[in-house]
Amino acid sequence: MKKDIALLIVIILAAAAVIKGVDIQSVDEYYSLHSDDTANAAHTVTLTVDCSDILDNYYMLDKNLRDECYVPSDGIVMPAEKYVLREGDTAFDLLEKATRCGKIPLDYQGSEDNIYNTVYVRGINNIYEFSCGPSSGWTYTVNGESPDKGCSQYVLHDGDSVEFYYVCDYTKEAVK
Amino acid sequence: MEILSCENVAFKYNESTDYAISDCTFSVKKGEKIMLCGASGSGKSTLLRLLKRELSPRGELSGNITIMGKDRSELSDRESAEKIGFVMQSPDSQTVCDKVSAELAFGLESFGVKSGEIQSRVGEMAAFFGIEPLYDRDISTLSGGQKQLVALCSVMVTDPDILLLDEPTAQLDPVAARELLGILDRLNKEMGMTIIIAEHDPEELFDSCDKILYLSNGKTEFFGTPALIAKYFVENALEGFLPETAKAFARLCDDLPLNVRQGRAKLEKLGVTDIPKQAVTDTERAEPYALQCKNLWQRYEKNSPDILKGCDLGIRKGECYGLLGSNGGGKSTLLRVICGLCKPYMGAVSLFGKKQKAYKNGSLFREMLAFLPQEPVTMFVKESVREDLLQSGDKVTVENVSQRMGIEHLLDRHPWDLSGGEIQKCAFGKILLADPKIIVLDECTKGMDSFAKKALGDILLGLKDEGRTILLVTHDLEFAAQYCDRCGLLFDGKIVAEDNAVEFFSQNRFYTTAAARLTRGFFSGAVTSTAVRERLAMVKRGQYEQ
Amino acid sequence: MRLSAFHPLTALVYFAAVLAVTMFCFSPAVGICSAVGAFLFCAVTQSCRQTASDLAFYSFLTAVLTVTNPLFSHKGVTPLFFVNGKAYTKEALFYGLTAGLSLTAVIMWCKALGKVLTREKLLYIFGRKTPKAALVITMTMGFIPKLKRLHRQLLDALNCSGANISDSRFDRLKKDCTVFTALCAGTLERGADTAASMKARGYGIQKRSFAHSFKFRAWDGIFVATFSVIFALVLIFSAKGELSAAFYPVIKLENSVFPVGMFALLCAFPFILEVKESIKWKYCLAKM
Repeated sequence: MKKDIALLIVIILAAAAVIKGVDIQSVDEYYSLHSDDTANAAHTVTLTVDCSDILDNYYMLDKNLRDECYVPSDGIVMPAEKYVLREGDTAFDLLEKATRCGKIPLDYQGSEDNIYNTVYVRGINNIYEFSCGPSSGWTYTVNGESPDKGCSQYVLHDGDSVEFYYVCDYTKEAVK
Repeated sequence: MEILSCENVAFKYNESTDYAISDCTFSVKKGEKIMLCGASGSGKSTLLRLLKRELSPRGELSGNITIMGKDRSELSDRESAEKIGFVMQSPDSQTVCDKVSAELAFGLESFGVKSGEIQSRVGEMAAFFGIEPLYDRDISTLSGGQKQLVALCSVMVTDPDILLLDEPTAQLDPVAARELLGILDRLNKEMGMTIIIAEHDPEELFDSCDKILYLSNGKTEFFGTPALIAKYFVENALEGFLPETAKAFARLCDDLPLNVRQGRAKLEKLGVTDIPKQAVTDTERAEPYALQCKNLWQRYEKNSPDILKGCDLGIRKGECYGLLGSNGGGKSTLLRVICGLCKPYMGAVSLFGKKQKAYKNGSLFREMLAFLPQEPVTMFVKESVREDLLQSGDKVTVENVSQRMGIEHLLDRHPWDLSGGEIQKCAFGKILLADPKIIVLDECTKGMDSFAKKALGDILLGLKDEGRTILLVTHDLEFAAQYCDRCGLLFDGKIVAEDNAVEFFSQNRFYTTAAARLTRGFFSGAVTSTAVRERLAMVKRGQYEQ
Repeated sequence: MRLSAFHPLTALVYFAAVLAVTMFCFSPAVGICSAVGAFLFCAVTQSCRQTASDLAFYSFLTAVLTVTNPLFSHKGVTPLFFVNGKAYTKEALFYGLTAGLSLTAVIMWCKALGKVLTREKLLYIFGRKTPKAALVITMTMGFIPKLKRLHRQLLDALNCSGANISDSRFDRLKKDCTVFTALCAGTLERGADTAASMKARGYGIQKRSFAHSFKFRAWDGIFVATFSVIFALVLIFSAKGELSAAFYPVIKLENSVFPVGMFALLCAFPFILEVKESIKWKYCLAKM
């Protein structure tokens, strides 16, 4: 019976590998993306990644994350910077490109894995949802406004300014 | 003193229109041993279960059943559970606990008996039954006979006044069955236990009972002492219910001998002297070997003792070979090796000259061999017999085979609802669908009455005539003597004696048929009751001629 | 004194303590100590073949958990490589390993519990308060070996019947399904017989008594006291966080030697008792 169970596990793993596909990149390959030169680009957008809300609620932060390398003292994970906008890029595409250029870890739930058909950002720079209280997580604004779409559905335009920021309590955020 | 009586008892199952029991009247005195006999389906089991309230089937009951002076329904729960012991046919379904010790204590625990008293009563009973060595064992590791002894013992510890047994030997080999019946005899003689036992094999029990109740279609046809009922059976051509010795003498003399001792005395009185042995035809056929095992060695674990120790076996085409031997002698292991269910670590099995290993992917069972396991019901996995048969063959062949086996009326029944004899026939039908050249049968007469055995034997003879080869593993010496061409004794992992059936049984002194024990020193070569009858008839003719 | 010779309650409390620490202190050190302790005990009480098969299977299980966890959890600062654009990190790998060890340990302890607390002991512990539930539990436990045996019989019979079953995977699957259905029907059938037999032997007429009464002896007291002290120490240290481990974003093992050692000792108790007993026996034999 143990053999059967072992075989079943192997079959499930193989099936998952076939369905999902396996594309393995080394660390260097993954981070080898370089940002295009913005000087000659026709269209550009700006991206900021900000977790300063944590600084106000530092006592709630997971104690394993209380370190300069995860939460910088100014709360800015990625300062505002211009990136080249390609045709059809969404807010999430921008974030992924930027984090890969800046070698900052990014974790997300793919758009096919949830019912909203949009990518859900779980963690940036090892700061995850629920890392700072039970209602904490990442959200974003474009030009200072919260879009009613998911970040992989929002197609950017020239000159847009995107900000991903961390909220420690989204219920309060909604009121604000 | 009367301990149990039935008066005009009739019973109808809820879903049935016919009476399963009707017009049943008899009474049992304290300390009597009563045997219930009758063909399978005659209502023995139903009648016994009606006597034990907790096990009574659902249905409509009329008439009076009086137990220990009270009506059945007036007994208190405790009286009914404690004072009427019931042993079922299959020890597997009767056992509740996993350990022998727990099983023995179960009844007493139910009645809230104190710990110390439980220990002493269980200990005493275990000693009487001689099962102390099993006390700490797991029940699942016991042999069938040991399980049934434990089941009986666990009923006896509550000190019942009446002991009811429903075919307790049906699942046992003859050696274990004899042991169990011996214990029952002791209970009856040494403790005065009242025993009512339903049995299909009259051999051991017939003569030692006080009275025998013969049921036919749920009616009490006859209730009387063994001698009287033996006469009744002979008059009504029901010799199948008689023990071998009585069968041999039936209609040849007036007061039937009921056991071997009486039979030998009778022969002595008749002044029988040795009648020349009939010439035994062909000791071994010249046909090619259908099944050959050469130097088989097998053990189950690396460090366990060998079970097969250089076993050689050759069975010729068209032969019916009987493989005999006691439990643990390696019979079932040999069968498993022949069927490829386990591999020997030395030696090989070949079928018609082709190595067994050369049959790949189950083709062995599709082309060559069929195996009928001890419990034929395990061969059926579908909702009805028909569905199961259709797995092995198309519609037309299923029709043909079921006609041949006489199981057409059973095709739409659920396999679990059939009686032992019926399911055996269906299983036979199932293996015939694969058109096997060699048929291997494991204890195929277990739990069959003599009529079912005769029907089975006729089927075997028919198959043999078609040129099929049959390997029969059995404890049933009478059956082997009657239907096998050759017999072999498997002992200590190898075949130690092998000869044609008549020679085989006339040479053995103890491990032989009742007929052979009866005629030893009088006739030679008469090993079945039929053969003895023929010889006796010759003697009689001789006397008349003088 | 073997563990199985102690009072059932002693053994039950011991297993509860070990299982509690194993399940709530999630750290590789605890996992290893617990798994090894349980494994050693099982190894000395069963055949070598069984042990080898267990070892192979649980190693496989642990390896699978170790390898697959990083596919689901991408936390951690040290990516080893990227699968489908997501990080496969060292931290998640270690987390998986620890989970595998803990799972193995829990399964092995349950197995050990089954060996020590036989049906009648469980019946003794639980039977007083809830006799019906206890009997249901113990009968279910007895059901499994019966089921296994019947399954073997059915499969053998079907294989030997010469039915048209090819060796294609689909047919084999179909065969397994039919055997399984028949198995369920068969066991239910036999179960009904067993229930009838219980009733026939007076089950449920009145409050049950117990054939075996287990005495709580001095040895039990000593044993309970010893392991309670160790358990308490382990609890105190784990409350101070000295038995825990953090995996994300970086691995931090805050295990000090003392509490881990204490826990290892606790886990090794059954094994030590078993070995001591067999040495004593050998020594006795030598003197005879």
